[in-house]
Amino acid sequence: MLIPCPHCGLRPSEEFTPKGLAEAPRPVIGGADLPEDATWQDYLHTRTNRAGDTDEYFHHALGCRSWVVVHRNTLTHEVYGATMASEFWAQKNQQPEQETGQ
Amino acid sequence: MRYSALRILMEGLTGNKGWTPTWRDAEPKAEYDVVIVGGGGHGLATAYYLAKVYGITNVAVVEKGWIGGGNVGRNTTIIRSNYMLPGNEPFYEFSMKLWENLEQDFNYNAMVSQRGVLNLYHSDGQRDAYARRGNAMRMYGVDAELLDQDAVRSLYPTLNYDNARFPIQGGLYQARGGTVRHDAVAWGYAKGASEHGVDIIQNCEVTGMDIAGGAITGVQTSRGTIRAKKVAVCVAGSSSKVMSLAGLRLPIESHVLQAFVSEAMKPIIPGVITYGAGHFYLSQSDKGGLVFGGDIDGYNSYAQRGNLPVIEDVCEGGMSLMPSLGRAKVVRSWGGIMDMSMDGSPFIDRTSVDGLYFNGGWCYGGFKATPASGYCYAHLLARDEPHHVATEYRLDRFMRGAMIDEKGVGAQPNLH
Repeated sequence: MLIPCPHCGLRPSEEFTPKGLAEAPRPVIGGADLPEDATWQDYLHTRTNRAGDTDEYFHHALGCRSWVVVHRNTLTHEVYGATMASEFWAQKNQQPEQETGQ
Repeated sequence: MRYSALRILMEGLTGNKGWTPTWRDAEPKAEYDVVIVGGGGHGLATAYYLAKVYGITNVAVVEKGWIGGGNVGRNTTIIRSNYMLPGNEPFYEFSMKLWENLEQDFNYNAMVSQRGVLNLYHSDGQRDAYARRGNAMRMYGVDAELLDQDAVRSLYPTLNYDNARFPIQGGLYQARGGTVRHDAVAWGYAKGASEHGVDIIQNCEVTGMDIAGGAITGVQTSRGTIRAKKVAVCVAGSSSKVMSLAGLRLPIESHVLQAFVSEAMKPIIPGVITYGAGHFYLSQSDKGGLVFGGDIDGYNSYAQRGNLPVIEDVCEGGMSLMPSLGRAKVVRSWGGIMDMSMDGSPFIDRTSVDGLYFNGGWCYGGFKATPASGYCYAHLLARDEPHHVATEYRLDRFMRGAMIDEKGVGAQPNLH
């Protein structure tokens, strides 16, 4: 697989360390928004784990060391694109009904 | 049909005309007491023990493809019970005890071969960790022996002892571990279940779950609606897909694990070896091919194939453990989809839907667990309480902080 790192361009997947599915943003911690145990447990441990189009965190460990979210297909291993993890949820929230990477 | 040496002799003398199919390929009926979704090793074992031990015979096993066509036919056939944690070790030892008597029990040759499993260690710290694990095993009455380098050398003279970057210091040995003919496990359980009246229905994909008032009433399949008092999902690899039909999400990600076979050669590997300085394990099949594998690819996948970097990594592990491997050609590689759970341990549990049960999350340790998984799942289905060796395999264990994390890496499925 080749992954288009937003910083480095097209790089081989061996340079990246996969972290897992990016299905939901991290619950906000602190103040009145302290997550309920159930919210936190759901974020940490529960996945929809859809077959097909998926967003997944990768760390470009042997490159620019950025965290990126790779948009890819888990049935075909096709890679559609990648977004900086720092920008991913803000972008996704602007288009809540759209699947990213299609 | 009962298989025996006498039967083979008699059939040989009479032109082999008396053999009948090993199990009955059934048509779906309208209703069953229990519908088991998934005709792999675990599903067929569940049906077998439900019928044989718990007396529930109005059972169907529905399978999307053909029985034994999933992970029970794609693994590397290793059995062992060398776990450490209290939630795991009694379960896997129960499984080992069932393996030891399996062929007599279901009257089918599954080629159970207790040829010994050896986990190599390459540092003082690793030796201490294995000593601890071995002690934990022995406290549960499981055989474990810590071998020094000389003892390992006498078992496996061909490994790289003198020139390795991480020299082999010794190993933790479980002599009762070994290998089993994996397809025959599916066929043997199918035979046993079928003889007890279980319907095995192939080419029957579950496409929907009928739920009314919070309770399951049946399943929609590609061969029509089947009503059921209880539905037991047992489809590791596709668990999230099937359970989503009931609107449930699971503590599971799907990953691809690759395995490899070399060309056949004379016997050089008498048992099973795992390399401790990388992720590589090796055994030799009775046909002579070296069967080996390593890490999962690491990214989420539902494709039953992996990528070259992991193939390279596995082969590098093999070469550093046993350089003579480089003379052998790899003739086949394939991939299987693993339910990677959040703590590396499985689930055998009820769900929030009445009458819907779940068995999955086996990571890449499902094959060795097949008999105990079936037995404990059958117990749960029959009695509505967990079997005493499977009490920890609950879906709510993360909420309770009761993870069973053998590796201690946390909620990181691709590291288990």
